[in-house]
Amino acid sequence: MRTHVRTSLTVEELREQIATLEGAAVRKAECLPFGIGEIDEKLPGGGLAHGRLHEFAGGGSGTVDGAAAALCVAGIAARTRGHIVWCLTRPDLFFPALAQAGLDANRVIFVEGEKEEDVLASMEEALSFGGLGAVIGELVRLPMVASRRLQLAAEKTGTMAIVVRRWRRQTEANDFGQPTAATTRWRVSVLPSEDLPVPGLGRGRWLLELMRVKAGGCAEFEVGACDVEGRINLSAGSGDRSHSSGRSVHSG
Amino acid sequence: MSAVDAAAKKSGLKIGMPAAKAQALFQGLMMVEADPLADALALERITLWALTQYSPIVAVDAPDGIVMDTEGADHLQGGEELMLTGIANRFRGRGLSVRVAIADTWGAAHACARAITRETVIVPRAQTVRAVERLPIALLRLPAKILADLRTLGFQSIGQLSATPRAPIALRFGPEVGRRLDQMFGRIGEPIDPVRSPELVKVSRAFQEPIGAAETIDKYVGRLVAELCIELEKKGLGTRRTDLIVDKVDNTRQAIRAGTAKPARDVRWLTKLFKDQTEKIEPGFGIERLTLVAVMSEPLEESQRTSSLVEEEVRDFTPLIDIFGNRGQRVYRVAPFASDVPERSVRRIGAAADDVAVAWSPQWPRPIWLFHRPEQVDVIALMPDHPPVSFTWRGKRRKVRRADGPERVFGEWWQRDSELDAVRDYFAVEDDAGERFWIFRLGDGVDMATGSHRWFIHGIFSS
Amino acid sequence: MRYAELQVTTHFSFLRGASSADELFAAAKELGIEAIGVVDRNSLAGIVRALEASRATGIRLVVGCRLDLQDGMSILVYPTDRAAYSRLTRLITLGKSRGGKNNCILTLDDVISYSDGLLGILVPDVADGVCAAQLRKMADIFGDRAYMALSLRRRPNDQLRLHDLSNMATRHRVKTVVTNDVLFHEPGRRKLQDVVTCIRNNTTIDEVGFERERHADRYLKPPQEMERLFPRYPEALRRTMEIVDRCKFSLEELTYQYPEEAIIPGKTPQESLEHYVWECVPDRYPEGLPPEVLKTVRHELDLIKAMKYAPYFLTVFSIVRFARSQGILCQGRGSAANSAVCYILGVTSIDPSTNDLLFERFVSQERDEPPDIDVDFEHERREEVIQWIYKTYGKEKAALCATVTRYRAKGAIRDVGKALGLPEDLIKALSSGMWSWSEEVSDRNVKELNLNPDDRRRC
Repeated sequence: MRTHVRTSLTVEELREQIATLEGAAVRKAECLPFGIGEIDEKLPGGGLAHGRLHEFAGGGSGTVDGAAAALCVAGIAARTRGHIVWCLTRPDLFFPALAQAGLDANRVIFVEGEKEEDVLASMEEALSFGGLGAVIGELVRLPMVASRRLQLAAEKTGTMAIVVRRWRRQTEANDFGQPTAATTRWRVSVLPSEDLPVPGLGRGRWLLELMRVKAGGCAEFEVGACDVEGRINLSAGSGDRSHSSGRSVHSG
Repeated sequence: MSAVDAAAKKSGLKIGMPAAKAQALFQGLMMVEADPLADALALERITLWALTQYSPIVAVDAPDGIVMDTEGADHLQGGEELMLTGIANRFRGRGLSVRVAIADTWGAAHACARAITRETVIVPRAQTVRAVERLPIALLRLPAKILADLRTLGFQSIGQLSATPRAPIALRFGPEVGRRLDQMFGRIGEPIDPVRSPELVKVSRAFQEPIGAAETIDKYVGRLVAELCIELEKKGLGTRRTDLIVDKVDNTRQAIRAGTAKPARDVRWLTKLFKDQTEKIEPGFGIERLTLVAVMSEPLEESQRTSSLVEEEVRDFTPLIDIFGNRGQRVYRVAPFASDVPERSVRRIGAAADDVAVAWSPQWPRPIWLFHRPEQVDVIALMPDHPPVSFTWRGKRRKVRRADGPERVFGEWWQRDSELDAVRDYFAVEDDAGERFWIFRLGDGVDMATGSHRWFIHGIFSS
Repeated sequence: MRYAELQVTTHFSFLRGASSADELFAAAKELGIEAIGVVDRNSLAGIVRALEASRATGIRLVVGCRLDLQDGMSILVYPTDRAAYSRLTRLITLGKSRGGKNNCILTLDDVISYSDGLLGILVPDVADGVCAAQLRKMADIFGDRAYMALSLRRRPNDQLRLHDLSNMATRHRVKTVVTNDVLFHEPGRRKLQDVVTCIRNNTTIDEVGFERERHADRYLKPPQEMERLFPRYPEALRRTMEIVDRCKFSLEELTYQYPEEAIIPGKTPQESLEHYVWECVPDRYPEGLPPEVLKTVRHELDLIKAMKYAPYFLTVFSIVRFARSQGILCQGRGSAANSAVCYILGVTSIDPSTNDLLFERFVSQERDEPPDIDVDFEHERREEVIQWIYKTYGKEKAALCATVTRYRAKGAIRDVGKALGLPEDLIKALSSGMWSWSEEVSDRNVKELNLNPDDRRRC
């Protein structure tokens, strides 16, 4: 048994001791980095924090939206460990696409309800249960109060909560302006992809905008869409290709 | 003849007809000895099965029917209509012809089910009177003698009977007629005694002083759960469906059901499932008895028992799945199905099902939103197999900048005649903005037998 | 543009190909394809039929075989000359003797030993590390006779896949050639192809899932269409004819080679035969040869001489002679009974002096094929004869001829019925309504059983 007493502790060590004493669930890694320096350095902790709420929305082009946002979220979920609970009201998600972003179908439990309130309630229930890699919910609206509840539930068990904002009409898209309690808020829209030497479609490209982050500034990144492991990459070159030759359109 | 099938009926055979006459009417009639005892036993077995599937309150409605109180239980089946068609399909799938009716009272449902020729009928709330007005009095569940006499007196329909003053009828026939009418119209109650088999594990507590407060109910439910688990343990069983039957002072009954994906015997887990739902209990004038029945149980070994709800390394998520399920949420996982036709390549499996080893091909990109019904689009494309140059969808015209395809998907000729030669040529196209869509053309562009050459949009890759 | 289809599977790739050689060659003729390379799986069994079809249509047949090796590599091999063909047959024999019934086990090392004169076309999947390794081996083994096939799959990213494959092949100095990976002669055959896949996997059409061939369009296409589909690969298209020109071997080059053991030293086969004939005459005609028989014998011997069949008769004679020396019962039958020479040699027992024989039924100049002499041996002692043959001629030079299994109607109906998931009694009814040896099922047969010939699956 040691008898000498440590007299000086760093702030970090103190924090850890308090956390342990408080019995809060401490995860092995506090956050999930993107693996891309320019993005991770903008985020507190160097990645998407576990035990927090994050919001991803589509670009708002109008007709059908949020596909890129949902795929981006799928890639993030793919890189967590453990099961995923995905709550929704409209089951038009086609899973093979999520599988191509690295998400294993055996990990994902879908919870389908009638109304948005159901989605919120299910998310809260799943977050409180704990032990999951992430809890994802598709919502049109996210009132501040509801977002706070989600944030609290996430903190309690240290589980990452992600809301995918899906809207069907332009008017709904304006809702994104309203503040929420999310730790990070993102917008994912599409960019034209790069031409291939032959007819075909190469890797998709997205504009990933960090709209809001606690104690941080906004930023935007041009990235390549998720690969089979759920990773995005930083896209070289500008996204604007005022294009002349339509040669790649035809197969013959 | 105690029962005749459709073909026999068409030839004019009726129930009650003498066998000799029947044989004369129909050459080569196949006759099977009636066995009312076996029929009754079979009906009871089916009723016990229905108890595990549809509602905690299910009973035999002799000699040829089942009655269920589905108040509060239909949302788990997707609503009344889905529930009825589901029941009809299930029974029909087992080779039984069936008619199902839902109404406000046992009497009304019983009569309507036997009055219809189609398989299902829903009598809307508070519409019982209109529904049964013209039904024959034979459907009132009265003894044959009384019915015969009533008919002699000129009564044909229930409406006629119920319009007549009560007293003379009661004088002539006794209280039975009036009782049946009152039951049909909901003026008096007709509690259903749930069918039970001696094997079902059951615990019960009666209250000298009726209880009603929520905390009291919770307390006693908790105790009953503990007792039930002890009984289950003795038999090495776990329960998958547990019913809480609430008997009230006014002779009415209410039931709550908790279901679990895997057999359970854990006191805390089961208590939580019920606690989530006790707000649904209406004590009324007071509860005089609480009963807990394990209506569907399965063998449960020690090793399968889940530990408490505290977090551990390898999680068992079945308690969470149960919580969602009991709230009326649909819970599921998805797995691949070996079909090239995209809408058939994904199937839903139980959320607690074992892991599935197969996966979709990672090399063939698929869109993240897939439309249930592909929408028609106008396309300009070079035949026979060039991707679209432009397309118009929902009024908006888009130029195609880059594309891949065709991916040729053949119809599954063994499934449907219409798919004998059908072909869909799929193209993934990207417009100026970088939005990607999944578009297909019906037909191979050459042979009209393979499709009409119309174009459709089936999904969105990214937007 | 001139095009040859170098990857064609006939139904002699049992339960994989869905069209016969006749159908394939007839279709090729109609479409303007110049030549067909038949590459059945680990087998040359389909070549004979292919040759007949080739003769009938005038479309050139390029003899080849698809080798599916143990490590997963697949190569189409084409012999460029007769010696190479010989090597190919020995290679396949080696694989089959190792593999046993219906199985052929070959490794790349085997191929190396027999690769001289063989032209190889690699069948690739995608341009990954595995493919690169395979291309390297192809270049090592086949040198300038190494090629790689480019086929369209009609699946996502097809053009990119071909592009990457083509580049990789160039880097490894392997030439590309366009093929269509043909399984049947016209699009309508696809359903039958699905059914045979089910039979091969012993499952039903509802269960077979992705064991089915999933890459589209496996039917013969005309040269213009191939050109349209591969606009970026004109070199690869041209190489189909290049390969056809390099593979000069034709089956017509094969002739019979007779064993020489029965020949009397110093005499030619014909002389030996005549010697034995005159030697055996007294046994059959102790009183002397009747004049008509003599005339017949002379006539037959002249014909045998003209057609050069003497060695063949000698071989049969020596086997029969051995058998009789051991007291084993044997009897020649069939059209050989029309031969006086056979009677005298003791091969048959129909006496020309008492029977009217027609030798032309047996051997004719028009037919230009050696006659069929069927000799039955006493069943219990058959094995002794077989052993004597092996001993005399050597195990490497004698073989038991096996018949290649082909479906006849009854068996076909059974297995197709199972694959479609039809109920057992229906299958029995359908298949028993057939004569056992017919080639086709008529509508009348089907109607007789009270079935609707329009029903999709029964159709």
